[in-house]
Amino acid sequence: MARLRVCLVIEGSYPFITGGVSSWVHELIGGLAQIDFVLFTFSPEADQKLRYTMPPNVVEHRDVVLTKGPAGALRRRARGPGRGDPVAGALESHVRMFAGASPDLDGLIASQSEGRGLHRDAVLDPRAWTFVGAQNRRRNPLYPFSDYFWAWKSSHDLIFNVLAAEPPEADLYHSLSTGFAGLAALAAKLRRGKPFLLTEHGLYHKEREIEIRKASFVRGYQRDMWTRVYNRIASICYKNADLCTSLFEENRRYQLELGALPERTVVIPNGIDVARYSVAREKREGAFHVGFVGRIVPIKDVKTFLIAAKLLLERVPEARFYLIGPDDEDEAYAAECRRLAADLKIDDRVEFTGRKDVLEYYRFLDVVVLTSVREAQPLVILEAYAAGIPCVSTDVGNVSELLEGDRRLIAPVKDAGRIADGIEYVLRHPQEMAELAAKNRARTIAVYEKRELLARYGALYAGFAPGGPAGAPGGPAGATGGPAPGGEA
Amino acid sequence: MAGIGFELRRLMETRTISGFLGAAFSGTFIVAGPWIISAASVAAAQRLPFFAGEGVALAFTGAMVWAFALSLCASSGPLYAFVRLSADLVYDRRMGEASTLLLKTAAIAAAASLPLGAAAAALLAPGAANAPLRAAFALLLAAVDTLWVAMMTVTVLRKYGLILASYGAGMLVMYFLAARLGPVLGAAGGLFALAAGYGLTALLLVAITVVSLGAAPYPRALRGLLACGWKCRNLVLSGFAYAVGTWADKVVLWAFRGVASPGTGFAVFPPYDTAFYYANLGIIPGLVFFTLATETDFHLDLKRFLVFLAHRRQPDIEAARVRLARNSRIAIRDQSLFQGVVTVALALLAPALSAGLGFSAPTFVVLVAAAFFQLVLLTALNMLFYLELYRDAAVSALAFAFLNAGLSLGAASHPVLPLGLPFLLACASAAAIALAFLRRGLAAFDRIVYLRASGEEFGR
Repeated sequence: MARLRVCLVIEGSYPFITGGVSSWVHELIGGLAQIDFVLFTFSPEADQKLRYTMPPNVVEHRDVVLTKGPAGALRRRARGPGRGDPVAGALESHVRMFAGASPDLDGLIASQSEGRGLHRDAVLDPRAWTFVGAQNRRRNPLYPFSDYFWAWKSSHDLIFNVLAAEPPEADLYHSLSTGFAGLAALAAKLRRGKPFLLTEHGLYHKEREIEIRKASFVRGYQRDMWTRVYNRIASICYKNADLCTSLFEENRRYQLELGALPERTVVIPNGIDVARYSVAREKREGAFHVGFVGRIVPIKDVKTFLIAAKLLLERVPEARFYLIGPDDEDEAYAAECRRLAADLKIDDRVEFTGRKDVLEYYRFLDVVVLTSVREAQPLVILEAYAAGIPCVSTDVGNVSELLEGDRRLIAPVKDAGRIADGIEYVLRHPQEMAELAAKNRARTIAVYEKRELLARYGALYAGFAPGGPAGAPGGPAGATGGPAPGGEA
Repeated sequence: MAGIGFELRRLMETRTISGFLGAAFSGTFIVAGPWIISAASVAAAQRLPFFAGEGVALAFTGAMVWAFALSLCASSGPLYAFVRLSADLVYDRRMGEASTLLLKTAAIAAAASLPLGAAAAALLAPGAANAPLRAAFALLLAAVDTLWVAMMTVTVLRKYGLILASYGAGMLVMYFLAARLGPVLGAAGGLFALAAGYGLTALLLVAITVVSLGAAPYPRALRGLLACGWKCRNLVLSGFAYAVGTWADKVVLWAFRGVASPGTGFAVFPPYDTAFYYANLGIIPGLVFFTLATETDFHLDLKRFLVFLAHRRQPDIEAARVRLARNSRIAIRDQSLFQGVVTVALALLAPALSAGLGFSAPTFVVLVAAAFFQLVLLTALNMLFYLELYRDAAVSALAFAFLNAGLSLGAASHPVLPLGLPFLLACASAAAIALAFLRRGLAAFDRIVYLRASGEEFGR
């Protein structure tokens, strides 16, 4: 019997960037050795360095540079029976998409040849110009036209590039987010007639919205347009996915709000190899050891961690801080963090370890701190729990649930003072923390065990396999009484 | 030339008669000064006694006209690319590199012209007796080609007095050399003198530019020029086609009805060439009007429109586009009215002028009318260049070249047709085509700019 071939559709993470989602993917692939995986990745630039050693069951990798569309001259009309005018089709789809109606995705995708984008047509064709002008008059009457045009152009270039990307052959397309990966998986589903599984860690459209609102270079109506683009893509993905999985219930509710059908949604929490992180703890006397485990990137808000360290050192001079994680992803930001530590005069108490085996640190850390401004269900908290270490974190994603809503250990985003208070609380209450650590470890074993995660995804994949059961344990049928593989509701 | 246009407009805006006359006089002198100085000097030199020798005047005039025709046809295309690259460098304030580009291009122009001139002369003036004439022809071609290159950059400096002084110095040298060499070498002596005069002028202009702008290393100047030529190939084609269009009718007439000095093929057809020469002087008022009003207005409107395009709301942009199109139309109309009056006046004066200047009045009238349309064509082409609609400009110029060549060939076998009619029809048709392209381009120019900003080489 042929091995199942699953195409993982990924944007901006595995295998080029380390982090929670990438670790999750790597563990999933490694844990499901009976399945062949194909990677269909979307990257901001070509020839990025691989950050992971590919497991042997990764049989193909196709990377598409998002900003480089496939070459394509202006095409007035697609060739072949049943194919319409691609430009008219694209514009019609645009209207429907942003009017809140379901776009004619079948028509849009059928009107394009694989490997030939509409991105040039969308500006070269005079109808597109007239259309953009009319849309601008309606939606952007108060701001410069250039704002609207560039937002339209850049967003649609990306959309058309993604739709024109040639998906690898697979039995199932599994996207790790909505956005462009989700759109590509949906296009693959429509082109190849294969099921589309959507797994969300964070909520892509929400994350992009935050970025857009913070970006100084996104002006005027551009903010609204980009936000609408991402929201509409998310909605289209939710409505058209054969199954949407989320890490926790709150995110599932967001999916439902944007159009996912309840019977096609399921929560599958993160999972870690608890045994691996069950390290023998060794108390290092003479200091209080505070760990930050993660990449040195803005989203982790390392600067808040450093300010909290400064505040804590004023009260707990024996505290020591470890930033354990790669610092080469955003070197400028990492340099800023080092400068901040020096400016705060705490650089002799703070160690930037770089990429290290985190287990060595889990043996002696007294607390693990997370200061991220955005997370889904952070693996680092689960790892710390498995190692028996208490955590202090900002209130992001599923953290509140993981920390059982304990306000003493949860701080608002960017609140260094509350983070410092939380760390001090851990220091001052060793007995309570020991009890909490034991309880958290037991809960991790019960709910967040990697074996369970792999079993559920293994079953889901099997359920969607050609000729597979209509519903698999832990999959759509098991959780929600879901659809037949690849079928439509 | 938009720069001098602005300066002259400031004079006009004093709203005094002296200001207006000063602007008109300065404009005429700047636009046509070099032309007038050269023509007057050559005319003066042709009154030297040695020109009275048998066949000397015809050989001299033939070789000189052929050198100019060949020079313009061969160098106009590359020259347009050179102007474009120089303009880009000047815009980027890379003056030293623009200066170095000028030096290198001038050297290449001179070096490439010599073998071309020698080859053409070998074809047109074979035989040992013509050896001095061939050498003089090749040198003249090199000098003229270098002069075109030098003129293109030096205008950026706006040192118009120095430009005219350089021409004056060159022509003075020409005159004195002609007086010395002419009696010894005949027509070849005259040509050597002319080559020296133009060569000196070119050298002076290059020196003025290099001294004013300085020189900065530009090691890839030639590669840059080739790349620019390839990128703006339609611009190059426009230059080439326009030059061919300008000369096609003359060459056909020279071939079919021309006379040449014995032993040479430098044929000319004086009844037509003389009328054409004087008729062409008739566009000087229109050129001044173009420099003072049409081009500067268009430049300002275009600039305003581009600012609107980047920073304003859509209704403002559309209003600016409509204004640009309307003002361009009005500017061309006003210029045409002005030139029309000049044309009618010249046509009315034709009988009187023809008697004194030695051409046929009907031919002159036809050619004056053709000059009117040629000015319209030039204006429209210039505006298309501003809009970087090089493809449209190239099509218009090609239409001009093909129509003029085709109609002239057709008319060559029908001597009853008035002389200059093919040229008139070609000018009028090509002007109409260019105006239609201009109208279409202006109507969609907002889209065109955004397309280009999106990375499309639309219309270039």
